[in-house]
Amino acid sequence: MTTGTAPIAEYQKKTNTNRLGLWLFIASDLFVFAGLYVARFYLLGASVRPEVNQIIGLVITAVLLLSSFFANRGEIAMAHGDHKTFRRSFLITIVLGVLFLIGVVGVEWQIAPYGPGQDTIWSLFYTMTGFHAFHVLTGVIFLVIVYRNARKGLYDAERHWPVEAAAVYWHFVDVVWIFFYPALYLIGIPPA
Amino acid sequence: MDEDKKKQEYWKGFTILILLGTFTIGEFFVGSVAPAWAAVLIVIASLKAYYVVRDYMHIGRVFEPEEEVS
Repeated sequence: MTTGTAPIAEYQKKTNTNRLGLWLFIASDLFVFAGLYVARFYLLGASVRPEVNQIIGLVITAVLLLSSFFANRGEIAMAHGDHKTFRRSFLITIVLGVLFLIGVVGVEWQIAPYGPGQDTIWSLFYTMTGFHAFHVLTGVIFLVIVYRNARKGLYDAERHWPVEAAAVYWHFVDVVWIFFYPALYLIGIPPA
Repeated sequence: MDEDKKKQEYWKGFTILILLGTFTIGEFFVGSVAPAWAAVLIVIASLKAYYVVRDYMHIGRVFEPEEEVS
């Protein structure tokens, strides 16, 4: 996680390799989410969806999109050496990430009319939201670690790969939800 | 100069947020009145994902030659 004292050119070269590695990881992780997404339409079709609260879905989606904006803002700030804006932006991202988790696990799961063992619809709902929520949790942990390291002064405008990696991972989690949101909350109607 | 670039990047990030918000409200509306329009909703989601991957995740950096990476 530390940036070390390697010359800038060497650090940039390593960053390029790291960047490629991160994207390969994201691509491999994407296959799992894609499998769940395809399973949702294969098993339920486009005419049925879980009986979930659409307003809660909209609110938690807005929270996650807003968190992505602040993650991006934090990354830009660090790239320009603006530590104060970085810290504020990443802190807001972390808070919004926790709010999203509370919205899904603490609210949506609690008010859902059925549990995961009810039928295929609810089994898919809990698997998709649960697997995604686990990624949000790991993203929050990642952001906290980077935030903490930044406070120690480990990153600067030239050397901040962990900041970029945390932001990119966070946006990836956001992209997954961009597809899951309509699949779970908007497409189809609850069964009678 | 650097301050201008920073402001420009902040503004771009804000523009994307507004775009994402608009698309989200749009898909919520479509999902409320026409939940059978799966293709439309998937297209809207794909557009949102495109902007996040391009402008927030900066996928272009992966393909840039080393000396041009900023």
